[in-house]
Amino acid sequence: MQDRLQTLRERFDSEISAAADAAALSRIRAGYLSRKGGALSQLLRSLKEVDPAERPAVGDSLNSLKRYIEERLASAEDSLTATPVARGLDVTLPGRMLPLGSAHPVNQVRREIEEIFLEMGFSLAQGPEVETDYFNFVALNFPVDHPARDTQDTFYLDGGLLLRTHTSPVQIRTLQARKPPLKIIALGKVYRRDSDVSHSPMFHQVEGLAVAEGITFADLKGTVLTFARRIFRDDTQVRFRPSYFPFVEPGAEFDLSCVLCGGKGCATCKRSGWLEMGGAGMVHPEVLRLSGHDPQKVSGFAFGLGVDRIAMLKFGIDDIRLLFENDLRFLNQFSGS
Amino acid sequence: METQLPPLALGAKLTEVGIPLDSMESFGDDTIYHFDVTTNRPDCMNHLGLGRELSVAEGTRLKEPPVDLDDSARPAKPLASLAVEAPELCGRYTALVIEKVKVGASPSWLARRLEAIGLRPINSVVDATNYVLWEMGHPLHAFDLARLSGRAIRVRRAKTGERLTTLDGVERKLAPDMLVIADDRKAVAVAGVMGGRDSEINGATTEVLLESAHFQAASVRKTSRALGLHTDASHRFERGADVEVTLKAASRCAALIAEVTGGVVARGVLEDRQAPATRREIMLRPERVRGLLGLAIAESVMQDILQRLGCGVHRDSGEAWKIVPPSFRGDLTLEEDLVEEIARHHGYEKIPVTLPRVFLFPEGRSESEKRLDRIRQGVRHCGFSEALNLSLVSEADNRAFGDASGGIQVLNHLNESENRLRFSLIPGLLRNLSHNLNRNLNEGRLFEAGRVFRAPASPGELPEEEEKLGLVLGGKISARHWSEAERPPDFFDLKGALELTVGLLGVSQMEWKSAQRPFLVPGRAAEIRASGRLLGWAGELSPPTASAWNLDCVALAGEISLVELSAALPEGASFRHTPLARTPGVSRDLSLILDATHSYREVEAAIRSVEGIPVASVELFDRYEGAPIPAGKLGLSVRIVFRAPGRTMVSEEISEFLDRIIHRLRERLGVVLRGN
Repeated sequence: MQDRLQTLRERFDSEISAAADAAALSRIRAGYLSRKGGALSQLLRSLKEVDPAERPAVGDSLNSLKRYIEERLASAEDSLTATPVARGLDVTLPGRMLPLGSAHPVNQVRREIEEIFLEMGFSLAQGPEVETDYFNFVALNFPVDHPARDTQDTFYLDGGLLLRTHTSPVQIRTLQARKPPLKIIALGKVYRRDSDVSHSPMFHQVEGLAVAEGITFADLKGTVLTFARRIFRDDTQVRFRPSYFPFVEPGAEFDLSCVLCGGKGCATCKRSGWLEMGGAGMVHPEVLRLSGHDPQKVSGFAFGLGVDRIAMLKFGIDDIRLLFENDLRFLNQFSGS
Repeated sequence: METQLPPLALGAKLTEVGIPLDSMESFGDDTIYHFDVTTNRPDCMNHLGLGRELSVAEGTRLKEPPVDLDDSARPAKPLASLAVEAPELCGRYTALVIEKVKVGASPSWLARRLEAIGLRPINSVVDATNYVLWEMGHPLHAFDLARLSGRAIRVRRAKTGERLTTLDGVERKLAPDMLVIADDRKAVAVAGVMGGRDSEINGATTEVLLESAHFQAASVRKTSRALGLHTDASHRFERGADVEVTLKAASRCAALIAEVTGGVVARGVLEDRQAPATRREIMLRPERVRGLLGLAIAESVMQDILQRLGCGVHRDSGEAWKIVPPSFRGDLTLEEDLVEEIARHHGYEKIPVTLPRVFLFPEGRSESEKRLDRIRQGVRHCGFSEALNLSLVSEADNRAFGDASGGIQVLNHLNESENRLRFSLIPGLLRNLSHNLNRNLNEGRLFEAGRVFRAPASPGELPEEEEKLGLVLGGKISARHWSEAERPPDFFDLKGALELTVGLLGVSQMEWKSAQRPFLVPGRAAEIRASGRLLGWAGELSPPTASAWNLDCVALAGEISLVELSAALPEGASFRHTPLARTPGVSRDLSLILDATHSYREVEAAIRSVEGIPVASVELFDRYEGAPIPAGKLGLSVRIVFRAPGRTMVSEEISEFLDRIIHRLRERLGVVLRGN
C-alpha cells in the first residue's frame, strides 16, 4: 500500500510540473481528488482491505498525501491566476521620474575644455573680472594712447578700473605669482561694449599660457592642434596666420578646418572650409620682463579663444544671445533629461 | 608692381603673410580688395605698402611711384616762411609750393580711381593729395597759399579758447594740448587731423602750399578723440608715420598737382626738421630664430627675407647679425619682431608641430573647483537647471536685493538696465523665471553659480568678487508622475534642495533661523548658518517683489555664499567612516502638544540635551494644528531611536529614557503629551 502511495505521489509531481494552464490543473484536481473517480478516493476506499494493524499508519500517509496534493494544486492555481498576463501593469505608462536639471551648455563645454587641458598637464588659474588698467593693458604691452586699445571696446568703472576685456590679465597675475616652468589655462567671463547676433557684452574666453626654457612656436601649434582635435573631431586641421596682438611676438590668429563640414565648405564656414577660432603667439619679451622674467632665459606661448563660440559650434546654436536668455526649453536641450 | 596672381590668390597670399583679406568686389574691370590691416602696420594702409608685402611674398619686383620734380626757375624760399614752434609734437615739416595752378575737376582716370576706393572727387588739388595718401600712405594737406596771412606757416600749440572752422564746416574749440598749423594770425589746420575752411583750395586758388609733415602719434590720437574727428590722416598718424618719407611724398604729390592743374613746382623745399635721423639697429641671432620657432631654417633664407623686406643685413663677425629696418617699419624694434618677419614670409605652415617638453607636477582640479562641481550637480539633481546671466544689471535690481548703494557703476554702459555690476544673482534668475513662466512653462526651477560684486573697502582697490549660488523656484510643482497631482511650491521645496546640495559637501548641520528680508514674505524667510557662519538666506518672495519681476505665482528664492560655505566646511575629509551599529535600535514615538511659538529645532535640541541617553536619531513624522488641538498650540509627532553600542537595551531602561525626555520637554517648552 505504501508503495502505491509513493508511486501516486511521483505521478502527481510530474503531472503538476507539466501543467501549463487552468484546464490542465482542473483535470489533475479531478483525477486525484474527485469523490467518485479520484485516485485518492479510490485508495481511501481500499483502506479497509489493509491489515487493521497497519491501517492507522497508512491512513496517516494517505491524509498527508492528500494535504500535499491540495496545497500544491492551490498554489499552482494561485500562481496561474496572479500571473500579469491576466491583469498586469501597463508597462508602457511613463515611469516615476526624479527631477533632473540641466547643466548650462557653456559650463558643459567649460568643463570639457578644462579636462582636456588638465590631462595635458596644464593647471587652472583664475583672476578677477574687474581689473586695473595695468593688468588688462599696460602689463600686456598695450601702450597708453595706442589705437590697439580701440579694438577692445572696454567698459570702464570708477577709480580707473575696468571690466576685463580678455582673460589675458590672468597671464600677468600668474607670471607675477609663479616661477617657470608653468602651464596654465584661465577660463572665465570677459566683457566688451558690443551687442548683436554674434556679440554679447559678456562672454567667455579661455586663455592658455606656457612659460619655460625652450618653449617654441612649434609647441604652440602642437598644443592648439591637440586641443582642437580633442574638443571637436580627430581629423581637425589648424591653420596659423600671422597677426598682431601687443602681448605676443610673433603673433598669430588660428583657424580650424570647419568642424561641421570637415573643410569641404558649408554655410557655417561661409564656404571657406575654415573657422576663425582665436589668437595666439609667443609671449612678448616685454610682457615677460614686466613680470620679472628674463626673456633670454625663458620663452613662452599664449593663446586665447572663445568658449561660447565652441559651445555654439558643438551644439549648433546660431545666436549667442540665446546662451544668456536662459529659456528652459533651450537649456533642457543639452541635458538629455 | 606687376603681379601674376589672379585676384583670389592675391588675397590669399597677403592673408598668409598677416594682412587678411576681408572681402572683394568688382568695380568695372577692376577688383576692389578690403584688407583688415592690423594697427601695427600703418605702412600697409596704402597701395605701395601692400604691393611691397606682395612683392616679398611673391618674389617679384616692386615698382615705386615716380618722384622726379620738374622744378621751375623760381625758388620756393621767398614765397613762404616756415617755423616749427612745438618740435616735440612735430619732428619734421616739409612744404613745397606749386604756382600757377588752375583748379578744376580731376582728369577722369584720377576721379575714377578715387571713386573706386570710395572717395568723392573734390577738385584736382585735393584729389591729388588724397590720391598720394592712398598710394604711398603719407597724409598731405594743400593750403591756398594766398590765403595764409603773412604767407607764413607756424606749427604751434593751440591757444586757450582758440577756434577754427574745419573743412567739414564745424567750428572747433581748440585747447593748448592740441597742435595746430597757423599762419601769422590764427590757426588754419588741426595738425594731422583736418584742415581749416578759410585756407582750403577753391576754384580761385593759384598758389598751393603742400604740407607733408610728421606729427607725434599720441598727440594726434588725443586731439582726434577730443574733437571727435577721425580722418584718413589721423588714422595713419596715430599709428605712426614715417619721418623719412615726407619729402618723397610731397614731391610725388607736387608733381601730380602740377600734372593735373598745369601748375609749376617752385624750386627747393621749405623744411624744418628737428627729429633725428631714423636709424634703428636690431641684433639678430639666427640661433634665436630657430630656438623661438622650433624650426630649422637656413641663414640664407632668413637673410633673403629680411633684405626683400627692405632691411639692411650686416653679418660682420660673431653670431649676432645687425639688422637695420627700413624707416617705414616703425613696428620693428626687437629681435622677436624680426623673428616674426622671417616666420611669416617663410610660412607659419612650415613650422613643425610639437608639444612642450616641460615636466610639471600635475595639480589637477583644486578643492574649491571640485566643491563647485558637486554643488552644481547637487542642485541639478533637485531639478534646477543652470542659468548664466549677464553680470550687468540695473540699479533697481541691486537695491531690491539689498545693496543700498545701487551697486558698482559702469560708466560707459550700453543701456540703463545694464549699468551696474550685480550684487545678487537673484534679479537675473527671477527675470529668467518670469521669462519661462510667461512661455507656458508650468514650473520653473533655475540656479546660477557665479560672482557678485561689492564696492571695495577703500577707493582704488578692486571690488570684492564673491562666488555665490542662487536658486529660484516658481509656478506649480509639476507632478513627477501621472499618478500624482501638481501643487504650488513652498519654502520646504527650496530648503530641501539647499540641504541636499550643501549636504553633498559634508555639511550635515545647517542652522535655519527665521529672519526678515524686505523682499521676502515675513514669516516665510530664513537665514542659513553653518559652523556659526552666515551662508545666506532663503524664503518666499514678497508679492510686491514678485510683481516687480512680472511673477503672478508663488516664487521662492535663496542665495548662499560659496566662500562662506567653504569656510564652514569641516577640516580634512568631508566624510568619515563610523563603525556600523551591530545592536538593534529601539524606536519610540512621542506625540507632543506645545505652544505654536516654539520651533521644531527647540524640540529636537531639548530631546538631545538630556545627558547620558543614547539617542541615535530624532525624526519628525507629523505636525498638526487645529481641532482637537487647542488654538495657539501645535502638535508634533517625533520618532526617537535609541541605540546603545555593544548591548541590547531592556524595556525598563527605555521607559526611563522616555520619562527623562518628557520631563525635559515639559520643563523647557511646556510640552504635554497628546492623549494625556
